[in-house]
Amino acid sequence: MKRQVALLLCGMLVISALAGCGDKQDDAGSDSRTKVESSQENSAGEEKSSEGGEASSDEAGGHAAYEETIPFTYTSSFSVNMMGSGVDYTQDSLYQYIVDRFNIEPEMWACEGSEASEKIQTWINTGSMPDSLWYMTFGISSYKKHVEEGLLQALPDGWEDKWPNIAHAMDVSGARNLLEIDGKVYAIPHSIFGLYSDASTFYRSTVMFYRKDLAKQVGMEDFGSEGIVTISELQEYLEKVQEAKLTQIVLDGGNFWLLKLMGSAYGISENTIVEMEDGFSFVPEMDGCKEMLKLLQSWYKAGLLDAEYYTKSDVDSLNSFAAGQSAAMPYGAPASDIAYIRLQYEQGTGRDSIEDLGYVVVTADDGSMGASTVDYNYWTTTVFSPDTDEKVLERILDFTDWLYSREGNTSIYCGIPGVDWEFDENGKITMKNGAALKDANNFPFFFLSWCPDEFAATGLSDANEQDIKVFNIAANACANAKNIYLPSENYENYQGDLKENFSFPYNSKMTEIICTDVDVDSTWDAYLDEYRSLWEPFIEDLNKTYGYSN
Amino acid sequence: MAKMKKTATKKKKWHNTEIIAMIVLTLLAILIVVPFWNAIVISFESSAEYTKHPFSWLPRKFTLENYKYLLGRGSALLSAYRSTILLTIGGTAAGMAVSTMVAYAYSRDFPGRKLFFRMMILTMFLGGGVIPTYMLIRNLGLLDTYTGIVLLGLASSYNIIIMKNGFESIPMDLQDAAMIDGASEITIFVKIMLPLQKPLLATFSLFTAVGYWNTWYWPLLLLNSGKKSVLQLFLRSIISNASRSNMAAKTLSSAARQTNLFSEGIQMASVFAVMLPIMVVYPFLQKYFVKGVLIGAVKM
Repeated sequence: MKRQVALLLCGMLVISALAGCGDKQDDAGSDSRTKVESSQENSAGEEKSSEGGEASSDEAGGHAAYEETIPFTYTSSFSVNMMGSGVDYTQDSLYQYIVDRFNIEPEMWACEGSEASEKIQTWINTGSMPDSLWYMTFGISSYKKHVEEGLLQALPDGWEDKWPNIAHAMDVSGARNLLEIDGKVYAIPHSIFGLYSDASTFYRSTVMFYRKDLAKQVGMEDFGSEGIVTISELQEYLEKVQEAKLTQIVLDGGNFWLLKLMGSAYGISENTIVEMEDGFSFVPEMDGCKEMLKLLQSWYKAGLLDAEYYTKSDVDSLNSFAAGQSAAMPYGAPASDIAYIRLQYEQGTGRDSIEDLGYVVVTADDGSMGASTVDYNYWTTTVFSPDTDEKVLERILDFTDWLYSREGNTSIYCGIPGVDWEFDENGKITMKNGAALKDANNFPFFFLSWCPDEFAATGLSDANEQDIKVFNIAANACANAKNIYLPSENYENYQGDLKENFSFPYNSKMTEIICTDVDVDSTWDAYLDEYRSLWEPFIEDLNKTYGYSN
Repeated sequence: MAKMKKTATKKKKWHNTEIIAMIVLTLLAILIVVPFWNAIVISFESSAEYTKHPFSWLPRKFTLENYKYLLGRGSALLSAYRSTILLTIGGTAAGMAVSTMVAYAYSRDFPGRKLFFRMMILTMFLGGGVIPTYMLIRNLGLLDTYTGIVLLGLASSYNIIIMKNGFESIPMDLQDAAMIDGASEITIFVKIMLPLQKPLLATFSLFTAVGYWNTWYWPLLLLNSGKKSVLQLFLRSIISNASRSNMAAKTLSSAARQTNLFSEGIQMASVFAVMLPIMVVYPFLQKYFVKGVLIGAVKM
């Protein structure tokens, strides 16, 4: 008996050891890979939506029916918080409308934002990804590796003609050359500007928020009225507010936005390495860097800069400004950021943000912006599983193309087209039947098309004219900056140990210099020397590789 | 008798070292308790109050908004609790069943025992890694199931080693006597060996249960359905949602304008909500925790 029990236990051990040696199961397993289910009706072939181009996408309704129900799995930005929302999104009327319109059965897979990187990589590398994956942690080098290893599916041939709204988003993203590999495209970018605005270039603009009411109190009623101020004018405002002791903190802000804003004024790109006409340059080596550090050091010594700014995150400084504790704060300029700051200020102080808050572009004293950094006009992408059936992919692309249209994109914010809203004769969005705007953030298809940072789409009639004016001033200043740093495809494509090993952690060093009495020139030069063995050979190799002379 | 009584009532004299130890431990206790208390206070504060006064002994403006937000996700929270409880109970029961049986087998002699034992110890140092393990679970068709998560923690080598030593410490005479009386191996295992190892079983059950209660990594990777999410992932989602809604109000819609999520407050409320069951249960199980630590130290 003892032996039998022992042998049984041995057998269990052996079986468990061999369990992992089996073949990959069919797609019908718990992988829940999609299959085309035949509908009860005769499947004589599906008909596409009648929306073929941008012009026709403005019209509500008028779409053909899909005969076959297509189930598929997907993730979206909503996946990152679906578990905590407590909302049954399948009961939403707009969700039902979209699902019925395209005859789809989407199944959302959870993917927490904080661990998205690990989960997405596991999915992709094990061939277990959903049919349509919202690639939150998208990077060009990993994208290229995935394509090389056959882990992603390309868009079908002729996709530009079949899905013109997706093609338009691809064009305005500026990233076509990066995303196209051997003539095929494997990712759809979520472009930021281009649906309503003409901005085809995405400048990473930063602005300085300030208090109009405080400026009035110190006799600077006209401060910021044109939407643009010089560094000296800004300093004057800060000094007067400090003298009058109107706030606990004068200039608030975490490291990130502060260095971005001042860097732009001084001609510093936020990228460490930039490609210019005469070759690659190492940005920290530029003179503007030291000038910026000297200014911020003097402001810190004078008490204009928050004594603990370097310990604060963006959220902390924003909350502090919104609570009325500071007189100025640098921040990003997209519509969503501005809207949020206004909201927080009103709820934190109980005061009117339109009356109190203003924001300005900060330039050098000669009125020009030193530098602006152009970025690719997209953030995150959608990629597709290589195991997805062709029919399924086409349906997903039909649905996605509609989301990229004005009608589809607007529906996410406004509801069912023709029922909750419509375009009037001038093409302006008008709500109908007393319908309220939707909470797009908690809608499962949110962010599957355009990035929601564009004023026209998100602001509707709520956008403040002053906000839009300054937003355009910021874009214009960036467009006319002395140095415009374009995104470098060469840098993105470069591969090698020098790039892998390259690092230059400058934030903490800059903070140390700003907060102490050290000599800026010698300290910064010494720091550059400390890392010279990492950056200098890299710059040299970049220039050599791409044919720039020394 | 009188002399004994007199001795019993004699006051204890504090030595200097004891006084110093008492002071140090009190300071340590304050260092541990104060941040915890501050976290509870923050969970009852609003964003504005927290910004003005990051540290307070009591909430200046008491609010239940953070808890309302947390409990407003009622169905999701209950679902997460249900999943975690199921996983904890099922995983602990399955894990203990397998571990005790394997440990008992190793405490007996059978062909290849030493080889298998060494192979098992090897697994304590080497693992397949995330991708192979994920693929194993996927190939077994156990993705998006609790079984997959339980399978990964089914047999703990450490528990087996300790329990094996426990079984070996029981005299063979006892087992021989049982066999003479006609008991089978299973009867000996269930009616003699297991009852004698109750403290050990209780300790390891507790450790296993706490492990499942806190688990998040493999549920994160293996579970694709939001409804099956465990408590720790739910909390993570709550915190991410709060931070994300605050930092990326991607719409000016009036619905979004009504939200004003205090990220830190919600985090603290979430932490408190999850810790509460453990805090309630722990006083009853404290001695087993202590025993568990000592068992490991002595036996190894």
